[in-house]
Amino acid sequence: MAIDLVTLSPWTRKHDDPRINLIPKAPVIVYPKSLAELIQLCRERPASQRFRAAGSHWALSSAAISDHTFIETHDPNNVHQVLGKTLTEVIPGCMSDVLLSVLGNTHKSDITHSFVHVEAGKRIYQLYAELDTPDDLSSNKTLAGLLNQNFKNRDFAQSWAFETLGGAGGQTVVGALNTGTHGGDFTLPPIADSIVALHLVADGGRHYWIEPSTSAVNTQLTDDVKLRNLYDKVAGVGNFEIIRDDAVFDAVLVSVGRFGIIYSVVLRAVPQYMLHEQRRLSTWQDVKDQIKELTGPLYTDSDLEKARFLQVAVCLTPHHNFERNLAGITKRWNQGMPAGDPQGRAECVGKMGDFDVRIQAPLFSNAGATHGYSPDPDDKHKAADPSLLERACADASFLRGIIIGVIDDIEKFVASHGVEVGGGVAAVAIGGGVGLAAMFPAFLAFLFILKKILDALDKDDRFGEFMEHIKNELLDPDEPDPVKRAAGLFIWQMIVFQAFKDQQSEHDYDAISYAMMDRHDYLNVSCDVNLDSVEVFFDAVDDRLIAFVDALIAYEIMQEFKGLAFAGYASLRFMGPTRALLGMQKHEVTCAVEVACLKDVSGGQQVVDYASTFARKPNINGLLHWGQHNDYTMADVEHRFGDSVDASGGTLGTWRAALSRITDNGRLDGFSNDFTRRTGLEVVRPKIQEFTVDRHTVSTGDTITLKWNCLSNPPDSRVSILFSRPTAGPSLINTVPLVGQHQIQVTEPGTHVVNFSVMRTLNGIHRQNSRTAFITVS
Amino acid sequence: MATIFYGPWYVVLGRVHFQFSQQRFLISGSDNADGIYPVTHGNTLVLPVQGAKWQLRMEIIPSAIIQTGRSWEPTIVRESMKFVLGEGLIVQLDGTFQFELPDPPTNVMSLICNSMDPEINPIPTANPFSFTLGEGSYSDGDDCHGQSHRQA
Repeated sequence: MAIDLVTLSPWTRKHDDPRINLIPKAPVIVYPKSLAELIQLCRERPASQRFRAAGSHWALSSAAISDHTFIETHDPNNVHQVLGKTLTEVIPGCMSDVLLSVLGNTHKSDITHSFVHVEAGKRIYQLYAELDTPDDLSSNKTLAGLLNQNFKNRDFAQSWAFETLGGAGGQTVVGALNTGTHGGDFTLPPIADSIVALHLVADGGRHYWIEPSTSAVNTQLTDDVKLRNLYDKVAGVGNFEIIRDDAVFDAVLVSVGRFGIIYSVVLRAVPQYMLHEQRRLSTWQDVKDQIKELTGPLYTDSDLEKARFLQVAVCLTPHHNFERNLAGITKRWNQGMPAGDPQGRAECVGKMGDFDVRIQAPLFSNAGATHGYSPDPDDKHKAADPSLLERACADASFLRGIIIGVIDDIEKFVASHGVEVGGGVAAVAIGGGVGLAAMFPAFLAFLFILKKILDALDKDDRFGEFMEHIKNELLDPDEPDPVKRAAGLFIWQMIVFQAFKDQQSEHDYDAISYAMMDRHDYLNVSCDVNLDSVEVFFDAVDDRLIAFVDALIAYEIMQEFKGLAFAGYASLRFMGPTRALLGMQKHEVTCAVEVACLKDVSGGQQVVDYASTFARKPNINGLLHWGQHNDYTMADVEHRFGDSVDASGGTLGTWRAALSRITDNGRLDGFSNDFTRRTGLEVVRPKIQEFTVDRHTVSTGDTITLKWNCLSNPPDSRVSILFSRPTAGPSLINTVPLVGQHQIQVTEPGTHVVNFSVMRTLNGIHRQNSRTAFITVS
Repeated sequence: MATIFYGPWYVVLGRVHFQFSQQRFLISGSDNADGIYPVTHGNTLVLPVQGAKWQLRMEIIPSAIIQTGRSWEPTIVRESMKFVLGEGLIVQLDGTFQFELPDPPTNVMSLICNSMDPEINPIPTANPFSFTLGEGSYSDGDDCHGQSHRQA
């Protein structure tokens, strides 16, 4: 069977610098089209070629980077056929009769969920578009059709939706879940917790159907006999295993690809719903003390009922003479479905077109192909034209209007000798002094420069480069004139203030679930590349959260005093707890603070690096997103998740035990990479399968035979044997293979001791397993 | 109950709130400051502490004046953290003790711990800029400070 592949081709991620290929010549990039091809790849992996699965290339962390071969479940370049099918063999084909009966006898408003089974390479926007389209009742291959045929229940032929989503739908479903991706629904766990079963292909080609033992739907999802009838024939009887185990399931859910390739997942879907969004502008200083009050006003809707979503976007650039920071407060809550077509459906999904061979699914005209949905301010039932930022990011002319406004403000201010103060000037300054009066000449000089920049602005300029250009003109760390430095910084703060205010302005509107949650601008060609982003997770009621954001603000102020600046903001989103062992959502309400920067704009990378450094300090103990900028060391991970050399166990201990089960205690290391080794997402405890001494009582001159088998360990494990005679110290028998035997002739009477050890050293930390045998020589 | 710290910190005696007992704090595991530090009402103390991982606990002999011979008992520590512009990362430890039920716990001693880790303490220099408006300035805009500027 020929599997599509390319060799020595560039491999890069979505948010990398488009001018540079992250990996100029990836040895092999493979595009499997089926479960059978995946199994074949994993079964025939050469020992020297490790694998890594990739999908939409959305992740920013190095977790996605393979030591050698990339296995693409999705092709970002839309050339190769991908693993994008919606599968019907299991849902409904292998569902347990009990569950089918339960669903078949559930009607209308009592229906709380349905199920969908998809291959790993399906993008989120494709799946929400498909879910929104009611199943064909005439086909018993669909769940709704089968329930109609067997139970005369037509009520499952309706629009379905994800329970929650992250802020972008361009990721593959599996990529999003496997890195712990989340939205801002604080009443709900992250996307991973919508998964009720997954199909894993591991190194060696063995494949596993994995469900939790305690099903989230209270009834066993699938039937073993039906599953075996389906999957035993794919790669042979005995090569397929069904696991119903909470620990294994919770380990694989968030495992950054270390267990193998997740071929498919079954998701729990909920009846389609509408959301209302409310956004208000405030300041960080006014809202930060409310974050701890989980029943307080930040977490309630307009009727003081519990909302479901909260985001606090904090502008790190200060205003009000460095004392304040803008904050956009966004809340969402559920709304009833309208009688007609819901807002956002036409704009974000559109019409279903023909079946597309490459994605193995029907194409929808607008899914993943438009700006993020926003309402018309004059009619909330209509979509608005693209915002300034969206237009700008599509054609690279961002900030033109804002800069013209700032120029106008400054000109009036100077012309009136400081009497006429526009909104921007008033916001960035405070009363009670004459500091700005001294800057009039410098203001005029900068206005001249800004106008020249605007005149020269080319629509093909990248947003980041444009921002860097402006900032370099306004902020010069080497500028000796303090008045000029002050004036430049003042104008910079005005620009950022106005841009943030524009983007976080007040609004209220309704939209269908996916149009509200997936706000990614798919036409963006400029603002979304050459990015770096770190996301840090805290207990929402922990002081560390507020301290972290205040520290970011302090860092930015320090930068601005030095003539540097950050063009971005910190976004706080809130979410419920996850069941995933390595998930970042560990608390009743977890808050994630995301700091993203454009690498083109100097000062941004420094803030992201600072955020990461601060979060990793043990006294702060922030959890880093696995799919973003992630500098974790193994010590960091063990400090947070347990299983250090001094204190084994914890959630990481459970996770590693599950990895041990799937990988034959690390022997099958085909999905290990630099990231998993650095962070300790590996099997670390070596085990001794067999160690024997053929005789324990012998005579002088006899030969004893030691036999051992330690093959079930990571290949870099080492075996050592210490042999101690009664009259001499131990002698080391070193450099022995993981499986073998050794003969020793005993030459003196007395008790001889054999210490047998297998050791693994990872990141300088040694762990070993030992056995001791005593031989009595007469 | 011990509080664990990592790296270099200043430990500053904030206040000894309770006058009628003996109080002390203890540091262990540090590179330079392990020991017992008795404190009394009115004391001041600034103690630099270094060490990869060290711990601090607070103890009290309740009502020592009238019950000599009682041993040291641990306080219950309330820990709060904040980041203050110009000062850096600060952890405040408030040691409380339940003298008698049903009275609420009494705050007996506070320690202010200030991180000296240069990697996480961006301490700006004094603000070299003055973004201030004269008294004759006026504006009608809402500036997001929660109020409208009008200083005519």
